[in-house]
Amino acid sequence: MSAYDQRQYRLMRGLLEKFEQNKISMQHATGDLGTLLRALEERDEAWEELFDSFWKDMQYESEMASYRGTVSKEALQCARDAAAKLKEVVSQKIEEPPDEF
Amino acid sequence: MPTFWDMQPAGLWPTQPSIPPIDPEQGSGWAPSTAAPWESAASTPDYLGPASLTSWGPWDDDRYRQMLADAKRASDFVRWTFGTPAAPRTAGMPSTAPSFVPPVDRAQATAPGAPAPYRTMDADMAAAQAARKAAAARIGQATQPRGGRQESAGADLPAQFIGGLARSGWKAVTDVPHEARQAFTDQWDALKHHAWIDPGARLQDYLANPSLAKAAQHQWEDFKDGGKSILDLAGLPFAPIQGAARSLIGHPYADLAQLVDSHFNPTGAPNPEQRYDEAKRAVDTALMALGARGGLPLPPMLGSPPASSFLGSRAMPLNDKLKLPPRNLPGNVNGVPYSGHAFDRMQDRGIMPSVVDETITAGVKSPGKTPSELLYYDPVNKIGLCRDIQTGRIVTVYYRGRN
Repeated sequence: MSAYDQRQYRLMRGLLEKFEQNKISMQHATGDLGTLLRALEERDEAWEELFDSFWKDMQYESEMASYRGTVSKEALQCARDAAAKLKEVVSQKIEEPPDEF
Repeated sequence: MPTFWDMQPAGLWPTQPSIPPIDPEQGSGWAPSTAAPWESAASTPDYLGPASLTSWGPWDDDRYRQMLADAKRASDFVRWTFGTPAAPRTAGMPSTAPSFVPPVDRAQATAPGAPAPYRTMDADMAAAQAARKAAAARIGQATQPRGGRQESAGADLPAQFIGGLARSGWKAVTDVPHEARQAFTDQWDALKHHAWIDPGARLQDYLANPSLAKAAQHQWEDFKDGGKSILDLAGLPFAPIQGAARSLIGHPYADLAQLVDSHFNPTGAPNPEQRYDEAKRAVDTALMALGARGGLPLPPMLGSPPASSFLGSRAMPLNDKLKLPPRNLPGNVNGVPYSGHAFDRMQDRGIMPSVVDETITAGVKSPGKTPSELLYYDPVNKIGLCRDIQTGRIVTVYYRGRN
């Protein structure tokens, strides 16, 4: 895997962590995740399907919040649950550097 | 084996006899003269019988009479078929000009099982008659209205107009409850959109971007939305009037426009649903113009942008994280109702209504988070949308996955 893709995966994880910490909005996190996904050079269909299965929940909540003009607590909680799953999915792709002795 | 003609030198090769200039009117006054010296038996083709030689010569009156008759007959045929530029074509052959088409024996023509109604069985006459019929049919077809309409299309236009108005009038009356309900739903959606402001979302936005200027801007937007929500609330009782106006004015207008357009432009006319949708939007615009308007006019972009305005794309969506106010009104495309938010999102992301139609037709359905919502996903175009089951309205449209 290229260092370029590794950088995108790390950015995804950073986004999800910021969303968990309530530092960015749900629409912001959802939109940027899509941008980073499109920026990947690697094509891993199975991983993308797994990613999409959780990302679509965030997208749905984000879109409906935008339509209604409000973000309900339930919607926010649902998006956070999806973000936690997404963080695990993204972490599978991140190659941690070996510990230096 | 060479024949006698092959052995003749080139200069002596028999040619067409030269024709002296003659006056056609003088034809019968010419006296036959003797044969030219070069017109010997050797220069006469041997495939002509002896009888033909008697009437074969440049000054043969019978031959010229026949040629003149053929020419006049052809001229009459052309004049009858296409008419003269000054005078319109008459039903029959001109009676004053000498006709060279054999007259019809009417008694013979009406007899059952009778042969051709001409006294002559000449093949040329039959061919000429067939050609004349074909030309008349072609001219008749060319004079019909464009677009392959039937012969009665032009004559039936008033009847079509009256019948269309009667049908549209009945449809307009019966469609009033549906349109009133739709207008009420539109107003209610707008009211919900403008009135319900979640403080939690504002707090989340502020924590995400702790900027006083941003917070003040959000407060100002909330204040404006509050004013809009008052207008939306005031408009709710008038929703039945708006719906009735949509139906009672929109249906006749759309049918009339459809009838006129289908008559003069049959190939390019839009379908009736699209025409009715345009008519409804025109009625809404007219109703909005009736009331007293105050304040500043909306910026052009925040009004109802035309379909030709710029679009975003998957790679570069517009209005991404900007949270601009809604731009589009709810409406119908190809008979499918859309929310204003769906129009905004489609414009932001460059998603065409045809793609939405394809998603509805061929997409995978799944239940939404609430019982009234149905989700569609097109795995080919990677498009997802949310649709309200009760009203059939497209709530929102978005990209999914990686294309």
